[in-house]
Amino acid sequence: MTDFDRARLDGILPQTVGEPDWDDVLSRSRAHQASRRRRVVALAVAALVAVVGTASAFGTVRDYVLDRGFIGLPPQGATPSTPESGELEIFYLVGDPGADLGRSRAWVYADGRLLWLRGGRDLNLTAGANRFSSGFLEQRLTPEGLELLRSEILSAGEFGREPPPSPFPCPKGESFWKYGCAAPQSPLGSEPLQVPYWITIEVHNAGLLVSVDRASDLERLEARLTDPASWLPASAWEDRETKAYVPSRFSVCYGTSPPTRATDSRVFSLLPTAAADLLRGKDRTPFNGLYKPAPREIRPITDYCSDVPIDEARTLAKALEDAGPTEKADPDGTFRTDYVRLNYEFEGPAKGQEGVSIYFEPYLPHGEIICSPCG
Amino acid sequence: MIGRRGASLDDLEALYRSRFEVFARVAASVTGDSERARDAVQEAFATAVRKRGSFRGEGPLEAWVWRIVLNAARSDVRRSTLAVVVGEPASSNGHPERDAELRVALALLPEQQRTVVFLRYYADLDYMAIGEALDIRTGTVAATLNAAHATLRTRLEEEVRA
Repeated sequence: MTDFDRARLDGILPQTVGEPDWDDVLSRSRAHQASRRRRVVALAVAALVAVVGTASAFGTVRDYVLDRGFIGLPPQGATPSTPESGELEIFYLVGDPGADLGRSRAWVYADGRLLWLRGGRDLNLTAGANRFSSGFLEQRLTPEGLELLRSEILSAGEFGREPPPSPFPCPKGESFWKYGCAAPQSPLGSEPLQVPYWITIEVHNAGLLVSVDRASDLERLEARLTDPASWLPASAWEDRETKAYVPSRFSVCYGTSPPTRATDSRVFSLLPTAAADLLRGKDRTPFNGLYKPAPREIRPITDYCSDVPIDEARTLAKALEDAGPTEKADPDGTFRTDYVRLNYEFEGPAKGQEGVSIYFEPYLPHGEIICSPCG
Repeated sequence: MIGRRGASLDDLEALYRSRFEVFARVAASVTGDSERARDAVQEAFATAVRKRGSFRGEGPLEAWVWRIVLNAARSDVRRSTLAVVVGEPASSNGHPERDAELRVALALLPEQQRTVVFLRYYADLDYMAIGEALDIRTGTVAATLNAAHATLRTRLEEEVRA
């Protein structure tokens, strides 16, 4: 025995930095969970989505017939997806923004709806809104299709504690962190195939959404989830044709720019008057989050979000347009957040003073709004 | 197989407040950096709060949170590619030379063995909880701990002979 005792290990381990901060935990949780935080993640998005594009092509609806995704509000007359609400059966976030098919988020509902949103650096999707985003798209599965998709995940995923089959050993020189290869010095010669943190796969089971902890063949599962149409049979589809998902309502969120923990009255004072008047009478929910303006700087921020029916969202958007938002710079076609969601910025009353940012996110059938540029 | 009960926010907060230091210091043995370990613990608890509904209740809540904390710490290492080391000593504890030898010997252990040692002897988890935390069987915990002991004993004896 090596005479371990707690006191000895206590002397060896590095001391803790800082005091416990539960509020910070909750803020981080909300920042991720709500996924409404545009700016926490905008940095990541900016890093992921480098480059080139033409501003005028994005941020607008391309076709009145919604056979492709759109960014922002749907055109007048577009029929919202029905039913308005739905029970979420499967959610996943897979893929790589640098890959041809980009990074995909998908929501599958008990009524068969398969909604998805794909983001990337240079997408080439027939039904996509632009090269950075597919926009929210919709297909419909049959009950058989839903079960096939669920089975695919359940059969490939591991929810229990039994280890999956031994992975192949790491090739010489490869890091064992690369999932799918075994740590060279693991006691059993294998490491469980943990689903890495950047992938989320959840399946409804026993009343809850359950995360897949491990997958026996994650690469295959990712490929299949990224493109279900490539392997699901014709009988799995009630409507395989891809259409835009048209929501019934939006969440409109607003906060200072650059982000701070400002009061709602402060934010209203910065918004164009007509827009502030529309929003002031609505219930609003504050969302506290964190903003990382620099790698080692974290700043608490607050945005406020209000539930807005689609007609009022149009009125609000018009008021914002009429007020003359800050012209969006796009000197070299660099990625901008408004390529992937409707977003307005207004400068402060004087140079150097904080301005305001306001953006629109659609409600999904299960009642969640997400951060479109995130993921 | 998928029967769960979820975890309450109060339980998580109580665990966080009572065990923060233990989480942070063991995480530092993975990240090699106290500040990043703290960040990993904060992120991990934020994840636990978000995903508390997926806690199955098949084992202790602490073990489930340990798994998230260790994953967060490992992810941090993976992102940064920093070398994983056991940090500088917090105190000599009266045996500076022996502690230095042990520190080096621990740093040379494979990560899983080192983590099992800290979870068992510093965090005071039982084998079942360690198994839950690392997602390995209880028998594997025992085997890993035995292997760590054997390696440490050999290395420390070599040090003594030298």
